[in-house]
Amino acid sequence: MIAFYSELSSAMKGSIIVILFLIVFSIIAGLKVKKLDPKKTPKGIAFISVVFVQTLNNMIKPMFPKHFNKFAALIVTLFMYLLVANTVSLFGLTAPLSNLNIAISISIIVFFTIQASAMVIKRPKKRIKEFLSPNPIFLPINLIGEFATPFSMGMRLFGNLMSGSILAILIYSFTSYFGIIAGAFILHPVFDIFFGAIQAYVFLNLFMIFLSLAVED
Amino acid sequence: MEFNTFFVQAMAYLGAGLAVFTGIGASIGQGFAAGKAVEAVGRQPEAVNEIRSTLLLGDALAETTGIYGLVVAIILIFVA
Repeated sequence: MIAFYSELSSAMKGSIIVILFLIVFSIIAGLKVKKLDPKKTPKGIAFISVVFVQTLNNMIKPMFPKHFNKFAALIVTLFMYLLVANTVSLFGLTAPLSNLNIAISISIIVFFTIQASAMVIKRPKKRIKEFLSPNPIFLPINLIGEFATPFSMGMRLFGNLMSGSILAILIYSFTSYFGIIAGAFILHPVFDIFFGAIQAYVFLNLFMIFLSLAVED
Repeated sequence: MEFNTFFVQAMAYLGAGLAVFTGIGASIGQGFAAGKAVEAVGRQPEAVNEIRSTLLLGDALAETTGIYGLVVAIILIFVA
């Protein structure tokens, strides 16, 4: 187990640590929410998680009028993973999405989620009819579109996180004292917190839009 | 003129430099979006929160082409 862990690349290690942290945090938050007293205002972790889930539910509900219960959990899970994974380089870990493997696996998850749920919910006949619309000539373009959107979602995350880490390497290796100040006040706030959170938000929005386009009528 | 490995690497670096020129289009588009957002806030100051979130989403989407250029440049430098 430890030998397997130590052979992984640093981004994979970061990803595993993020996943373990999210598992532990979610279990603790779930237990705390379950024991909540409905007459009192919740505090601490329970309050944060209740507000978080409520905000996201209010965003997801208008997009999925029929299949809200099926997809809300998956969307919130991916959003939580990205939100923690993009800001994790503040704590000395490598940002997981700056590795191409993890970015591509995110796009694979998105691709199979969209295709499988569209196949199950819409039935293959209707799905094929959708590919042939508005005209059978558009079939190749529609197929390219099906592959291009998840790929571009993964690539967008990879490019943003990679550019942040490359800039950090450049500034830290070519400057001495100025680099520390620039890193503390410009580099990490902008590239780790701001862009990371924005990219997680954009991913949430795009995933919701494409999934609801594929699933809802 | 012979085409050895150094020549190939030099061309890869040149291609990486050219690929990052996609940033021009992305930045012009983002500038337009930000200008329109400022106009919208000036016209309707009470809707500033919705305008801000829409602006951020649109900017991050408009950034995509620039990011593609960056990814192509990174692949040219480190992989090819």
